[in-house]
Amino acid sequence: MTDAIRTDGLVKRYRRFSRTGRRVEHTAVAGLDFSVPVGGITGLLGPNGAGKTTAVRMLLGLVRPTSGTATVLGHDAQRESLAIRARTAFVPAERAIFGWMRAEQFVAGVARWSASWDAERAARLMGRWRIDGRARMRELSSGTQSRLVLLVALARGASLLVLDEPTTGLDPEAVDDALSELAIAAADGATVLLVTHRLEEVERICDRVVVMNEGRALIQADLDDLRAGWRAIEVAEHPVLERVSTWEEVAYVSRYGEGHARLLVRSSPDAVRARLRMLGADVTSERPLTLREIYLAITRADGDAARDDLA
Amino acid sequence: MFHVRPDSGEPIYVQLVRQIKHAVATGALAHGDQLPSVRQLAGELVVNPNTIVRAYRELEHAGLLEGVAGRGWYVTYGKSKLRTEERRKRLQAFIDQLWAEGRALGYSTEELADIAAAALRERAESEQES
Repeated sequence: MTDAIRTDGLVKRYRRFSRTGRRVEHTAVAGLDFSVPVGGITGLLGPNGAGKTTAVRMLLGLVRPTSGTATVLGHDAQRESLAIRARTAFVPAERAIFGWMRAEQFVAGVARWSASWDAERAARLMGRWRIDGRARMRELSSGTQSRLVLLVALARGASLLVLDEPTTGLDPEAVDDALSELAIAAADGATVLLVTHRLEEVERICDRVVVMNEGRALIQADLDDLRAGWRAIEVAEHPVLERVSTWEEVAYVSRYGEGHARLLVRSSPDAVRARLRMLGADVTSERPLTLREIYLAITRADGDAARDDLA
Repeated sequence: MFHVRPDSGEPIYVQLVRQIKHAVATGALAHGDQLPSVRQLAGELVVNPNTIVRAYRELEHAGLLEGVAGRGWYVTYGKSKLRTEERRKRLQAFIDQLWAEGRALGYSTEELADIAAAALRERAESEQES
């Protein structure tokens, strides 16, 4: 087994009745194919409403797919979800907090039904994150609640960590701390799927990204490959600029200032530069793109050929 | 010891490779020194452990580090297993690159030789001072 997660044509449609009593259908996930290799940290990105949370809930058997299949840790997500959940630590986007419970009771409760609980890690994080075990959970700040939920997920000794916006409500220092623990968990052999809006987090600790939009995976790629492929190439005004947008490697062309254009190239930047020069265009500069720029180019260009073979 | 900038556009493993090479070149890391474990460095730098492994492997390939199973990664610089010929070949690749870039920028080969020699002399002097 080389994939911790694999989905094939996963679809989820919700039906509801509109105010006028008409039946309306909403497609949250529209034929999702993606995989997460064992080990490492994969970032699942996408705009609001892209279907990330629904997809994650289908992986854990919490939502029944309309069609398609998902295999997680070698188990079918629908028929064998208990086996999956026994080896997966899940941090949902909406924190279900048992407010009346003391923090230490919550931790002990999860420890009791976790087969490979890491008591040393739990104790270390309780101290490091200054969580008062005697406090009732409703008394904790939202940041501390987030940390507590993350602590429990990290200490479960799970093979797979699925984290939906785990750093919500954390201050920058706490975010760094949380990400550092994720990196350590991955070094210890866990596979991490990190659902997030925060591109700087992905850029920092993920080695692979999946970008979703409108219920589908637009791209899935090794982060270093993605960075190596994308370039911003600046070109002085030249007739060839009229047709570069039809080149397969060019994702986006923007004109700015006087007689200049910027091409966002999604692959083979060397070949594109050589071709431009051959056609007599003056390449004035070239630079790599940040993940934010790549992400925006991909999601904006969705609808044309942009979703093709970056994988 | 090391620090990375994830938003610089340069892959993190490349930044690490460069910094470790620099540390070896300046003597901050010497032959036989042990590098931090992958787990430790991933936690400290807050980067993906695979990124660290990739950097270490690259440096192992370049003959600068040696991975000892179950014990960690060690600097092997200075007693490089690379044969003289091989080292010379790798250096030649950089010299070729320098020449090509320089010629493309309009320098003559003569001028490039002078510039390179002056730059290296300057570096040798600052090494002696420190």
